[in-house]
Amino acid sequence: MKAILVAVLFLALLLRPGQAEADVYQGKTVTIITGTSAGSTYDTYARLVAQHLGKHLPGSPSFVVQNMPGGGSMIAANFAYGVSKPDGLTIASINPALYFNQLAGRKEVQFDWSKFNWLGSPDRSDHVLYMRTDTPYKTIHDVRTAANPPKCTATATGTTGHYLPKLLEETIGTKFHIILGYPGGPEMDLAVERNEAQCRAFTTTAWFGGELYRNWRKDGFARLLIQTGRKRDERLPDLPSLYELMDQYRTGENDRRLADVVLASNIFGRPYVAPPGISPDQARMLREAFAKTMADREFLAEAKRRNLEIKPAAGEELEKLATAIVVQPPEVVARMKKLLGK
Amino acid sequence: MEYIEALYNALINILPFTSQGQQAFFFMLVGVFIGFWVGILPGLGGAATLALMLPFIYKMDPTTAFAFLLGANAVTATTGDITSILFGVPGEGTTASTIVDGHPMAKKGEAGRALGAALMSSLVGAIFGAFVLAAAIPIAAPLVLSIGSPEFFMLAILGITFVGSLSGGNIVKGLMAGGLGLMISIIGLDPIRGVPRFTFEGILGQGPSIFLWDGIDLVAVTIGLFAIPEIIDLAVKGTSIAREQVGKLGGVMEGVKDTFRHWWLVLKCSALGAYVGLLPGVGGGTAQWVAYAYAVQSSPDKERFGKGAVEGVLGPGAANNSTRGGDLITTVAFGIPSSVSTAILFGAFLIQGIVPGPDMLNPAKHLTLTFSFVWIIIVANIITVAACFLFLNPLAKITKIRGSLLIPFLLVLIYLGGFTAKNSFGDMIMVLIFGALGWLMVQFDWQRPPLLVGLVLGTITERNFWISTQAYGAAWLTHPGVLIIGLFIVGAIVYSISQILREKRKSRPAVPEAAPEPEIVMLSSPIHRPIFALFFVALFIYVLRETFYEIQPMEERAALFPMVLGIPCLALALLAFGQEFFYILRRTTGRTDPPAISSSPELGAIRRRAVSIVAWTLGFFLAIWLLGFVIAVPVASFLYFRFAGGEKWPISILLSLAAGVFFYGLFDYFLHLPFPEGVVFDWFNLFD
Repeated sequence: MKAILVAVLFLALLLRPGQAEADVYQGKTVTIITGTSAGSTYDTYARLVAQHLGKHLPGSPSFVVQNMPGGGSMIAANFAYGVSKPDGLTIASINPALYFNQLAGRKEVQFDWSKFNWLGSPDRSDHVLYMRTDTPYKTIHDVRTAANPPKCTATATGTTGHYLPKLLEETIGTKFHIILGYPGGPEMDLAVERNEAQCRAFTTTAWFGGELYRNWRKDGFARLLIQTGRKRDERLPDLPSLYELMDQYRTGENDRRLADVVLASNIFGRPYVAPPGISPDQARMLREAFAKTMADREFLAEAKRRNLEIKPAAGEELEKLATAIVVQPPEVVARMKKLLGK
Repeated sequence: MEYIEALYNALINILPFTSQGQQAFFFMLVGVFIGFWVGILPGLGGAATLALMLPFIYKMDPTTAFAFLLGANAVTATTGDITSILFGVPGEGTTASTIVDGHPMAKKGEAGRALGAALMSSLVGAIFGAFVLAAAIPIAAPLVLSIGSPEFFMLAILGITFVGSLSGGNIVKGLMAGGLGLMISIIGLDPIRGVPRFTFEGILGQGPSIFLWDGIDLVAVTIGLFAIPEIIDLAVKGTSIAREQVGKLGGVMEGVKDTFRHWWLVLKCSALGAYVGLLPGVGGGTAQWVAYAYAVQSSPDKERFGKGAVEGVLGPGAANNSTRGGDLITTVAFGIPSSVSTAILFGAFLIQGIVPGPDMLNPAKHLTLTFSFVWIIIVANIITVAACFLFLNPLAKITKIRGSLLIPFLLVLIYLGGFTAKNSFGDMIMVLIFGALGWLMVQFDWQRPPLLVGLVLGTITERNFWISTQAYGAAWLTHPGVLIIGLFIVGAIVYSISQILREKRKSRPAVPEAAPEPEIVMLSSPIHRPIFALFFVALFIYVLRETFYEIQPMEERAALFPMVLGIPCLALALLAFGQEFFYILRRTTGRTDPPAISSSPELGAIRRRAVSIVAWTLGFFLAIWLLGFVIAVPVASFLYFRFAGGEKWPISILLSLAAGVFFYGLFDYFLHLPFPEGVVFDWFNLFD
């Protein structure tokens, strides 16, 4: 009898660490805050992640998505960093380019990019620039030498549609006439359809994911002029990359650094972060669960069905990058402020 | 022929005559049921609900999936009207304009008629929108592409010209209210360079200032402007919502007949809604106000509006439903979602392995499915309206329930509606701010609809002006579309002016301002009228000062609109001040009748009740802030029932418990709205 009791006690002791780990999430609900409204791409990814992340955490907590739109997801980032409780029950999906604001020293930033607990990203994407085919700009060289610059659409300063053409101006000397003020992607594409504008810069993922662009490729309505990755995308073997062009045009060192800083946002992808104050154990659990989710077969199948590209980035990689990116020499910061139109 | 066949098959696919159709029909009923409640309850948004429904469609076939989603989506604007009419609280952001005339009808005991009119016109609007969708399918692409940014800008200006006719007899105040609405739309980051405008960073600090970056939410503004004054009035009068015998003036069928009496108006507003739906980025929120303005504009008898004119219900009732059809056109034709709801539906297409775009219009591919959308919109609305009609007469009786039993629920709903706009406390504060503004506007005889029209059209105007100018220089001014719409604008202005002159001439011989019976008890002394006008003078001086010293140096383009608007607004505010001042002067010199109400012995009691309801309104806000929604709802309701309403203990406990359980169950447990915990718990760290 005594022996059994001892054995049970011993077993209980043995199992305790695992038990405690499960306890953290047992019967709990984890909230994913997204910095955009329901129906956006970030929100779609978050809802998919929320369906699968739970089963990879000890205790299988349930997940819900809550939208906290505003300030280009700055409100959500500030909330996740400083307002939400660091109990591991709140994580956030935020805009990958928010660190621009931190570098530019904007007062509204109430987070330190490098101190988030980086969980990973389901997707990363380089950028491309599309151009209507019925224009005289057949290659990026035509844009450099054109007397009349083509009109590119953008929502506002500081967004991809604006800073990418600007970066091309700074680094390889192209000229674009950027039309600002469109409310969003759909309106920009319609503007190009009716020839109010001719070009737009956005992610490679969007170019291959959007149905509209599939039709455009089929009809030869628009073509790509440049991609921004260090390596050419395997789907775009013939499209020159910004890095090749920077070699070709002997872009200076400072301009290259500028490109590096700006384009790092591509690597962050659609990042998921946890508040800085959570316990290291929880941070590890979340990060591992995130990585497992990205390899989860059901998750991948559903992503495919929803036409969401999955090119995961690991939390460790993002953490390293985040630490490095927030330290920049003042010249680069100054150039970046100018680029962002601030 | 192919089209007819597809249209026929599409109908069969969603009707319960085949086994496949049975499934689709069943899920449409489920969707309609969900949509019904989403529409009725403020705080449950159509788009957010769709996002929650999306994961359920994985195992459905395409027709069933869309019957489920679209069924829910199609009816929210219909049932939202019910809440707007009965309580003066917008059930959906897209049904706020129904309040303006629908709620006064309920107060006059005509709730049944208003509901009948709203539902019938909603049905007509929905069917019209669906047919537009069907008819537009072959020509969808050129139709969408015909509207460029310059034309869009001109259309917005055309909408703004309607403001004049919404002025309720006082053109100066009406125009200024419209200008104020345009001004409010300027708050936030400017659409071009992202310069913050009127975000009050210096006063509010960074957090609230970022909240203002995205501008002022339409839902919060409408709840504040319309619901709060009604709640105050309900408490002050100490009656039920209906002041007269319910049904005295005709019930539901009367409203249905009204729809056919004003057949042309309903059709024209349906067409307007469908067209607005077609424009990318604008939907029911804008369409309803433009339709309301149009209903007033086209009526020879503008005085009746805002006091329970049935046309004011019919117009927006039809328009906010017909947008749904127009909204789907860009999604179907281009694969470009033109609103949040359609963006989520777009996700549903992908889940179903369907490529939105030209294939949707191809008879060999998905045309049948596309046409089934048309039928789903129609059938879902017929079912909803039919179901509603069964309950309408009892529903109208809600307006006979005594106010003290309703007020706590209404207070909870307005704050919930504000909170869910962006899941943030900021919009609850907006509800309060605009509530105060709305109440004062009612007290001092300022019309609120022009403000809303200005607000919904402001951003569109500014954006498209700058896009046009950047893309075409000044050349866009000579685009044919621009010139044609320009002629319409001139026509609309000339028409308005001639109407105003005619009315002036007509009313000239009348006795000085035979004021109609006030819809809302007047509490303030007339002396305050010029002071309120002076407030606007000060406001616009501040706006111009800010624009000149703060915005201009940062970005000239961001300063143009506030400047161009601010100067005439200031002039109008000064004129309004002059008007009010002379109004007082005339009164004190005895040239008009002395105010009737100030001598009433009841006034003291009324004042006390007014102070009390304002305190309770703030109290509910404080309770939610201190205790969090879930605890505050039963606690504050109980306190109100027992101590303000004077209800008996059992009733107070029962009702507040019911409110608490319902609130917790639906919004917290089931929907997981991100309610912040009460700050009290933070102070004492109770849960750590």
